[in-house]
Amino acid sequence: MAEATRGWQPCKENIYPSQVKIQALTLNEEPPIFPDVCDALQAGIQQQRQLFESQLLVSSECEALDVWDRYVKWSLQVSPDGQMHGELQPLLERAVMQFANKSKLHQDPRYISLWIKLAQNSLVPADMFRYMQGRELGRSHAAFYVAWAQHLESQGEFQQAERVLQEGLSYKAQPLASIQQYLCSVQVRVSGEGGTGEASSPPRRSQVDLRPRGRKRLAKSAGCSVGFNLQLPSMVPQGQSLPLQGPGALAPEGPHTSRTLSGDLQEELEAVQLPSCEGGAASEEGNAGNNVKVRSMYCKERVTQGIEEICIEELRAQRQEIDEKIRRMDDLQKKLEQELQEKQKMLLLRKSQPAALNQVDEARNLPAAEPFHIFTDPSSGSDSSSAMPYGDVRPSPNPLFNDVFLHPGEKGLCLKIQFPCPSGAVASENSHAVEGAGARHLSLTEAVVGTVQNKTLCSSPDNTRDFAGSAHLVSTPCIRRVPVPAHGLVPKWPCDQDNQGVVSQEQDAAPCSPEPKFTTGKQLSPIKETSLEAHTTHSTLGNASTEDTVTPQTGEAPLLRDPCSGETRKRLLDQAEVSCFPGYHTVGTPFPHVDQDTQLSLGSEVVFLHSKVQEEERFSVFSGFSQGNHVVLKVERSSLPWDFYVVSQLRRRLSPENSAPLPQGRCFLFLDACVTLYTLPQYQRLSKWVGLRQEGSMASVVSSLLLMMRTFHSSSLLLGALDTDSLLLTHGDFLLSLDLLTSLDLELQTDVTSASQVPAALGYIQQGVLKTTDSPYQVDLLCLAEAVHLLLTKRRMIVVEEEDGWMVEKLGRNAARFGRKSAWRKMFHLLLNSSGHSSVSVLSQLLDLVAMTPSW
Amino acid sequence: MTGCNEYKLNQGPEDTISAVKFSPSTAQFLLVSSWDCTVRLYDVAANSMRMKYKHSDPVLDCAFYDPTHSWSGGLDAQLKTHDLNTDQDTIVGTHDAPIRCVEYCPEVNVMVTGSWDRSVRLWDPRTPCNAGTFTQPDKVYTLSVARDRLIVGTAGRRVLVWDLRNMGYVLQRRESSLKYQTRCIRAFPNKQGFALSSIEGRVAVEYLDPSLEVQKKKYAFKCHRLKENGIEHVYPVNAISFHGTHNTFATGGSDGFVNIWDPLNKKRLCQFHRYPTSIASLAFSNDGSLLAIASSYMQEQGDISHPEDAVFIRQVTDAETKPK
Repeated sequence: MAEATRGWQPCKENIYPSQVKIQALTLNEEPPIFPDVCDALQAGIQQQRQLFESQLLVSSECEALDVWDRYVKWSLQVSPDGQMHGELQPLLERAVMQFANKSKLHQDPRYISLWIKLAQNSLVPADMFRYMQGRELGRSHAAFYVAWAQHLESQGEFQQAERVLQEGLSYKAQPLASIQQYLCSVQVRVSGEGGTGEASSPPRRSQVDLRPRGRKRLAKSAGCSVGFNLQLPSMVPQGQSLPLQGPGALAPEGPHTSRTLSGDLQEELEAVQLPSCEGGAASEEGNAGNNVKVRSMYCKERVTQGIEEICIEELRAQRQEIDEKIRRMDDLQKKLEQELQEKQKMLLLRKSQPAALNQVDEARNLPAAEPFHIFTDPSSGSDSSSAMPYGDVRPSPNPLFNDVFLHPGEKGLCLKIQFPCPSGAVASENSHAVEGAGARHLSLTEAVVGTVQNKTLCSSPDNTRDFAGSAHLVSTPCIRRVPVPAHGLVPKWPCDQDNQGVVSQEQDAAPCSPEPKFTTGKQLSPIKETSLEAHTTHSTLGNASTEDTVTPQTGEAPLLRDPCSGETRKRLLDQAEVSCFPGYHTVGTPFPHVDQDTQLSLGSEVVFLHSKVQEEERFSVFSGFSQGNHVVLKVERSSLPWDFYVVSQLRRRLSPENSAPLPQGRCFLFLDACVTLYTLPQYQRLSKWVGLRQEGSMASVVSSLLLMMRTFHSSSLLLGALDTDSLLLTHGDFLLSLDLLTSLDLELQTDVTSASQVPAALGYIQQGVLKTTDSPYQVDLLCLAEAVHLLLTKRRMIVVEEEDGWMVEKLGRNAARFGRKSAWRKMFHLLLNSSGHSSVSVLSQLLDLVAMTPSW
Repeated sequence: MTGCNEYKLNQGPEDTISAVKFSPSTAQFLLVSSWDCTVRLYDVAANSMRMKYKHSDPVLDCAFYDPTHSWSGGLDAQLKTHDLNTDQDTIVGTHDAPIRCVEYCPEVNVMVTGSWDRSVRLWDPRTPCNAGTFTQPDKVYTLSVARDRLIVGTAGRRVLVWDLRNMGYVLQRRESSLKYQTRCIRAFPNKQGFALSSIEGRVAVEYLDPSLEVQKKKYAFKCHRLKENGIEHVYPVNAISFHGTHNTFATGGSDGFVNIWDPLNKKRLCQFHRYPTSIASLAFSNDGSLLAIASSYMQEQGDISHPEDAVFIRQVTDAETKPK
């Protein structure tokens, strides 16, 4: 303990060799501190850290840079293995962002050093170096080029490394000697691999290949000096100078004839004999040793940048494609702006008009409805054609024949529909009676124009055919088709003793149908059918009130509504008042075009987008910096902030300690897009992380997935689907899903009560893994099984039914693939056969299983 | 701008010219493909455009199958044949990525296309239909036909020699003798070898015979470079065309110059005046009397303002093209 208090680690087993030079002076002042050893040492580190932080607060600009420089160096020193960890990365980001706007310090070596450290230890060093190059950071500093070349060399891109160093030389980055020295070392390493400059050169096959290559050998054999140091003469004869070149330069004036040379003056080709042995490369211009500078007259960086080689035509094609996309987006933007302006004008127009502009006004413009008539019962022997208005003894001018009559005292719907005839004559066919229990009386007028819900049924109450179609559409939730007879031009009303009314959907019959044909017998109108299904059996003859119309079930049948539709989401968001949520901002402009290496203004803050992480049809994800923080930005191509809503509700419904790992999210709503911004100091895409790791670490992945799902379910939130490409692994192995477009809030969407209402459940129901009456949460469990299977095997899950339930096919056939098949079997068994169990309990059980299994 | 032995074609394309090809049987007709999505047939003697047909995207290469049929392909990845008599199009087939090269092999009677989808496809022009797809190690940038030999230049500086009568295996796999990206490959009329140009002002002359004695003869030389103020400007060499009878060849570069070379004697025979902008393509007529020169900026230095794209027809003499 005494030794520990001195700061020396008593046990030498955990000593890591320092990757960073440790200054000798500090060895005497402060012994190396190993934080894992003693709490007292930790306190000392904390104290020192606080000291630096306080110095930063009081320092001026120039002093702050010095403090940062010392702070970062000290942090590296105290790091156990000299490498950066989670705390140092944000430190560097803070440091560089603090001086982002102080251009006079941008060329300070200390500032450049901070950037270089940040780039070297980021997840995408290449992007960071390119970003620095684009911002001209470190342009005149050799350290920048050397660091970048080191990274490229570590990736095997030797040619790129050489080009970067050449660029440094061309910009005369200081100290020049360090670039030259490193360049020489790169070239030595490259030439040692066969002279082609590529790591993939063919291996040496024999001792013959060990003979010296390159300059010396060719010089001896060819009789001419070739190689990097050779300055091959120009093809232009001496004394003939050429005008300034360039694509825009004009040809010189004068007689434009060819310069044909006579035999004596013909120009000899300064040809270079090429080595004939296989694998040998021609000697090319080497600029390192020449005094003549060479400039390539094409966009060399674009041609050679990137993993894949690209030619001039490909570059141009890419440029054209981008221009085309931008043009299309501009056109789309203009179109949307025009539409928006038109809608705004319409809105203003409506607001300026009287508020009583409603259906009643519309009704005023409609022709006056005929007074309803009381028709006599045909069975009573009276002429069915004699329809009399109530209280009116005059014969009806247009008696209706295809009418439904009810005997006095009978309960049932009474609906009269007149189909327009070409001659205007009334159809003189049979009328039919409708009977059934629980039906309601609806007068024609009421059905057509009486209620608010019915007001959109048809525009004209006289247009009974239109009404028939409209009434059918809004009143019948379950529709079965019936074949239309040859003459069948009108909807049929077949009767069904079991009250299972069948309604034809042939609404597109000829507009002028002749006599409608109705089958006699007991028939049900669609309205009656609906009322039988939806309401209890009681009816009031003649007492049909507007409240008792069938319209409560019409038009908004919850069983058919898509819970994930835009309309539904909009309604839910309005209901939840998402605009009042903290972190919600409205930006009333169209969303600008963004891409990597661009900036985006979000209110008062500017986000630097340095790379695109994911590109999908409905959204894009970028990574960037904002106010010194690492951020992830999701741009959705719709103006519904559903993701933000779900994450906010999750945070609200969890306890403070459980919601702590959730990243802070903010939402910026544009006219045509929605941006969700997450502050994430560290993250990695789960699919990429899994690809880099070994199988044994799947336990932590599975555990994170289970935790994430349990968190959602315990907050009455459903994921609806699980796309592993959209999952980010953040600090503390917490998973964040960037694609919540299929999620559901079951606390708000109380109408979603069964699995059949979840869009993702369809396939599982068809397979038989899921029942329609299962809980919606079971769908998520199946999606989780799918995701785990995909991460594990890179294949889609196929399930088979075994004796004890459903199981993944692969587990049954290829047990050797999974080392502990019993644990995997248990897990998949639980996930695939969870019907009737609470999903939270299943997930908790699985978490225990993962924790108890030693290694996966 | 032009002399009496040279003139500019009227009604030229409205965008970069990608290829110029003379008819195989007469010096009168010239096919010109362009980034304005058109392929145009010119009557060179009358200096008029006879016909024009369109693709949906820029056209990267064209070729005559016979005097009355042209074939063309480009960024739309569609291979089209056009009947020049009836002015009718037929889509013969597609590649999976843009078509970069279209050539005809009269010896085997097959059309050959090379594409950025890393494949070479053969097409039977009689039907017409696809006669085979052959994977290349990388994207195809250029190709040339020499009798029944097909020479393909791909990305990664690879050169492959195929036997068009037996495409079951590659005859020769080579690496370009030049250090930088291959721009153009053209075979010698005598089929003994090929000339290969790179993106950085060099041309290599190589031979197909793999024997050591013949391989020793291959060489490379710098060209299309201009020195100014101590800086050597190195230009891509975009085009090569062989004279039908003399076995000499012309090169065109982004410096705007056209040079004519004698590969056997390793001499430069001639350099024409400088053209307004980059030379995108060259073509000698079948009799060697005319040289079509496509002076067209290829955006090799980005999208900047540039002189008008034009095709020049130049009468060449033996003095300019014949070895001394």
